[in-house]
Amino acid sequence: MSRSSEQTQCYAMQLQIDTFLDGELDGEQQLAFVGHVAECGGCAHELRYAQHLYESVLDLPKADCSDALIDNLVAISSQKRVQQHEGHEGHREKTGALAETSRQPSRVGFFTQLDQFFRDRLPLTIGFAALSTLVIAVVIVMTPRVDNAPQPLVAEVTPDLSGENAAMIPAAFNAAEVRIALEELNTAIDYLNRVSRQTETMIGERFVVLPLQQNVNSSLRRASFSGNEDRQAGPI
Amino acid sequence: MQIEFQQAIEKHRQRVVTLARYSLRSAADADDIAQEVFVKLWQHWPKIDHDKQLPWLLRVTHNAIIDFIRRRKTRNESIDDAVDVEAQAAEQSQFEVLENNQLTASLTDAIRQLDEPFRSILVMRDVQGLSYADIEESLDMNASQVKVYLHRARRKLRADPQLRLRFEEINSSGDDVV
Repeated sequence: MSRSSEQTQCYAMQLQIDTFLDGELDGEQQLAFVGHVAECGGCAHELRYAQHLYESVLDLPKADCSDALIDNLVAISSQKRVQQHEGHEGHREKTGALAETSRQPSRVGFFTQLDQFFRDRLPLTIGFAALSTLVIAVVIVMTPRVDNAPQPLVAEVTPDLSGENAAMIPAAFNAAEVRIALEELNTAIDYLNRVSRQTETMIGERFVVLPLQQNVNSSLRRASFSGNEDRQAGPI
Repeated sequence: MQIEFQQAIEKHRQRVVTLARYSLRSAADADDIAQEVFVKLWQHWPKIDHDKQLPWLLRVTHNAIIDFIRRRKTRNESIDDAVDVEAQAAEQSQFEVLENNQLTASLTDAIRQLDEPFRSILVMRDVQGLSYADIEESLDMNASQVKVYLHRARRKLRADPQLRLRFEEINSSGDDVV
């Protein structure tokens, strides 16, 4: 057998060392492997080295955590203890303990659940920003509807064409023409009032609501993209 | 639920900490990882399939280790190394005593220098003796991928010059005795 073919055979056999150590070579392959190792000193040496390392790895010690860590974890799982320490244990730990409380059916209102959602799902700052935006948006949207309906910005003109006022009407116009003109004027005032309310709403959305929405969206994007590269796909 | 959670800690703590310990140099860091993992277990307890609790824990540990190493790389390496040396000098756990064996110490170092997922697979399978099914589930791989990575990890260990040197020393001293 030539030297190069011997090297090729040795290379092929050494690739099978781990399968041999796992006992996963089939009968024919195992016979060929054992036969080669019996004749080849280099491969026998490699097998001894591989077996020694394999057994050393199997004998490596298992590590364990400290008792303090276990005590801490037990404390986290204990609702009473977490409530005592909620000032410095962090929001996530508190949320974990409070999740148990939130499953109790009574005395949990909508805003409590909303607050729980923001604490659980979002970092505090983003949650606060989102909540503020929501409140401001509701105030801006609701306020014009409440205030504007009964209070037009410009009072309508009420035609009063009796008595002395009738004498002030120029001779070129009769009373009916003046009444029609005043009605048209009232329509124009009403239209201007509505335009004014819409402008207020648009200004509010443009300079208050939109910037806040953009801030919140960019914060959420940063939070969702930061630190996720190259991660193993996992449940968390 | 609390009792079940505490039972889960008792049952799986060694596996979680061992995986972290063979990836990180400091025992305190491994404890931090274990705490992070078990807090997540508590938070996600109602949503977890408890028949697959161990693979879930191993997967979260694996991800936490990757995150930790990435964060550490972004810090100043020299300061970090100094802190690690001080921390290691302060610790004299049973684990470190066992590491004092030269081959074991070289082996532990060589394992820590392996890249992911070679390191995790080698620790899960050869150090901890976990089943292929648990490893497949925790790393989201199929059986053949796990075996290929495991065999490559062992070959990378065998290629470590320090380990070969230790083996040759042991081998030659054994020959002398004979």
